[in-house]
Amino acid sequence: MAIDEAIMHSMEEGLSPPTFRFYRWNPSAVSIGIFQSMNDEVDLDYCRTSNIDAIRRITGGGAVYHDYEGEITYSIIIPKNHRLVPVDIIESYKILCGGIVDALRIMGIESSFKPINDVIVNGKKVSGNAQTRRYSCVLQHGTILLDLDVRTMFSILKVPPEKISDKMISDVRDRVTSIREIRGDEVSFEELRDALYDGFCESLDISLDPGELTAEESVDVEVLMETKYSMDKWNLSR
Amino acid sequence: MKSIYKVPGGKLIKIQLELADDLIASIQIFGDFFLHPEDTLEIIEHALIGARLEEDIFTDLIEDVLEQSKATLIGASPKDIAQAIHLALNSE
Repeated sequence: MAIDEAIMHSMEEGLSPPTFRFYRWNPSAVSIGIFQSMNDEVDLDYCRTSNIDAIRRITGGGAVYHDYEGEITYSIIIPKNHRLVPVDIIESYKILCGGIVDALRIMGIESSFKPINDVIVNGKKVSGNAQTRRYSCVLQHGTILLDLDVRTMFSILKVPPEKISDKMISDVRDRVTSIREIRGDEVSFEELRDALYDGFCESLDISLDPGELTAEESVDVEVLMETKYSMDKWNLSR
Repeated sequence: MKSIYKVPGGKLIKIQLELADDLIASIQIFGDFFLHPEDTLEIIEHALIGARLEEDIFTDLIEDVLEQSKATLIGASPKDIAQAIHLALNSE
């Protein structure tokens, strides 16, 4: 999250090109939307004892469990006047989520964009996405589920233990799915990553050159981690 | 006073508020909706302080802020937030 924001800062200064990232969360983490209440949504005691980070995003949307063993996060950061981001926000979600739809097609999975911000397969969500427009940029990040650990998800989110019934778990499985569940095999992170790379390139008609953070971005990341993303003042601000 | 309102076909809104003399004394709006720019939510909360307890007044105040801030609310409408506030008022 700090890296995404640092890149936005740098792009606003004209120092960084449009940027695409894939990443996983180690340790696993839960991120909440900017307008959500951390204490209302997340069992922070469970997170502490289970070594799960809990942070607030700069984007709206809901709580997401970023399971190190079951999820890839991507982010795309582009100047706000870029051809890929029309003024209409839903339209821009549709364009950018096209990368995920194409990636899944490469993996043999037919999916579609479902407004506002989801990608679905057979009516079930497999990817959630969120956007913010600030610092003269558009940031869209999102999650693609490789695997689904519903019990841990419920332990992290504030659902009373007695309510974590088999019925609730089956209800979630009716609404959310994962690539391994759809394909019925142990799809690897590498296969998903490579498909996302190709899917985004094809769908958005872009080419990606490998890159590192600039020195300025790296310094900014440290500052943002120390002064924002590790601080209760930000994470517990609502 | 609290409420949770799921917008039909949209996102979730949670309200927490306190009253004083039949006016809104403090309010926090939570949820998984989208609002661009994001800091508009604090302006909306501020604008609602002192409001009389009528749903139409809440809607108008929220619409005014959105217009002045050139803000876009997605997954909920001003009317939905007003309804969530109304539900909170009836919660106790």
